[in-house]
Amino acid sequence: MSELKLISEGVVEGDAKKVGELTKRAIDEGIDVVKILDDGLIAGMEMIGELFERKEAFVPELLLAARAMRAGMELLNPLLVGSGVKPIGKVVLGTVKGDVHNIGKDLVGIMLNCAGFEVIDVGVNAPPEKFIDIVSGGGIDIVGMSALLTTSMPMMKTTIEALDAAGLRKQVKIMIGGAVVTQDYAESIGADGYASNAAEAVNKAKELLKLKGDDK
Amino acid sequence: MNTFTAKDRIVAALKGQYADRVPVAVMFGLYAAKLAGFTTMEFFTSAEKHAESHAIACAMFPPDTITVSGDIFLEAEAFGAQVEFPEDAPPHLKTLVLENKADLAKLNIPDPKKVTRLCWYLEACERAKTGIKGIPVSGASAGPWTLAADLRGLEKLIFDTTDDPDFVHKLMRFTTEWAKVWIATVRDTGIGVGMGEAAASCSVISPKIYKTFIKPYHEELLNYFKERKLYISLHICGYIDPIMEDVLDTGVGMLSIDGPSSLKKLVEMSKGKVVIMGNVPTPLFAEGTREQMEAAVKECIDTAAKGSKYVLCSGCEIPFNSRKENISYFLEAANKYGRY
Repeated sequence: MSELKLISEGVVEGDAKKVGELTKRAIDEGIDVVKILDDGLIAGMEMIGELFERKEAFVPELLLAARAMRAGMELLNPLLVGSGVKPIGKVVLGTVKGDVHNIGKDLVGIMLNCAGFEVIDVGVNAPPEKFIDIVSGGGIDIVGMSALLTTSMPMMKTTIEALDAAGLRKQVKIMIGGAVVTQDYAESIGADGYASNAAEAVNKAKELLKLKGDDK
Repeated sequence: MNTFTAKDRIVAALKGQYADRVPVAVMFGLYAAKLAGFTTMEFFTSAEKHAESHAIACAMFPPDTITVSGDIFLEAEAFGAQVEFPEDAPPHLKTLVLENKADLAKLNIPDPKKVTRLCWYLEACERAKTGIKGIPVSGASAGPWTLAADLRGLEKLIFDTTDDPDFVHKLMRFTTEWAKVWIATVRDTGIGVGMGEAAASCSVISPKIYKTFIKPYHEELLNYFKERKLYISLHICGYIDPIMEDVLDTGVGMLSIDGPSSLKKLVEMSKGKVVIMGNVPTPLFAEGTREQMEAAVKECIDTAAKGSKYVLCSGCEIPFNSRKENISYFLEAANKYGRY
């Protein structure tokens, strides 16, 4: 057990090398891979997420933690296939057209991934058609949009309208975020949720997923 | 009878004295092009139109000081980055100069007067200085960390601080030496200079990064220019409360902060030693109601204006989708609540 705790500590410290080594050792020792994932890597990301929410950790620490977690995930992923772990929900995520900022979006993606979501990242400067493409393929629960600029914010509304026009709006919950975005703005453009940071985004996504279940 | 000029108000604020009211400023940025009816491309390529945009903005919404905005990737472009200028949005970087760290060794500090885009900006500053009558004009320069981030890519640079701190210091040394050259050149056009550190906000960096990789270079630059009797101001975007103490510790004489930072905290910490600019939230210029704008202006003035040494200003460049009436609300509220 303390082995897994060391892994989560390595994630919090953002030490990719240490996490890789410890994860390998845990696998070699035959510890259940799902346990390594949940109690080691994800537990670490949750800890750094909490520190971030308390403003005791900052974006650089989150980036380093995410990289450390990936070092462990690379070893676990081949073993997790077939272990029966199913995603709790499916999210398409992107920075809207006219905006090329990726750090916030990427962090949200990583945190959602850790929380058990499958994330399809459509990248930055993503036009409405890109979101529509993915959603029309089916199986998407949540559309997540990011914008850092006041100039690109209106594109969130345009994307929601485009989803509506394509008859896809009701199939998904929509959440938005980014430095300039607010709860008021989210409501004004008809988004279902807003989160001010990556950790909060996970809670919001889980909440929306529940709402979505209730809709059915 | 109003006998005070814009310059009187600014000088009074710098000296800790009082004119008739708190001086005001709006960072018009690209919105100035919209006010003047120029396209983004015209604004960013024609020095004449760039200066004229600011002059028109000043005529429509008279501030007490104006910053010739330039574009934030000007310096990165001078070192070879490709910048894209979309029709109705701020420019963005298409390529990174330091995708490979080894390429730093190949970079040289150019003579600014031999780089086309830098000449464009210098000419815009000169034109603004002569064309805008009665209002003190300033220019802008990217801070060393922001230029480092524009050359290397912010995410990569953040990883470098852990993986290869020596490289980050070498890069900061380079961008700091460049800032010495560039700021002096802008100053030679006869205007003041503000240094913008968009990438030093705690929305993207940590206090540890500021302390280790940015603060020493800020200190060096500020001292370098102080010795040459040039007092440059510093603007940091976004949220800076966790690094405020360290920023003040650099000996900065004028600090401009953005809406997310605490003006109250800055006033308390700086103890009247620093001239403060800020920090009316920029989204209000696009979406705020008159009441919201009035409340924000009043709060800023109540918080910071009592001891003078304060310029009421938008927290950062106002959005491209700002509304004229909102700028009017801002100036009206400044007039209403800003009287000493």
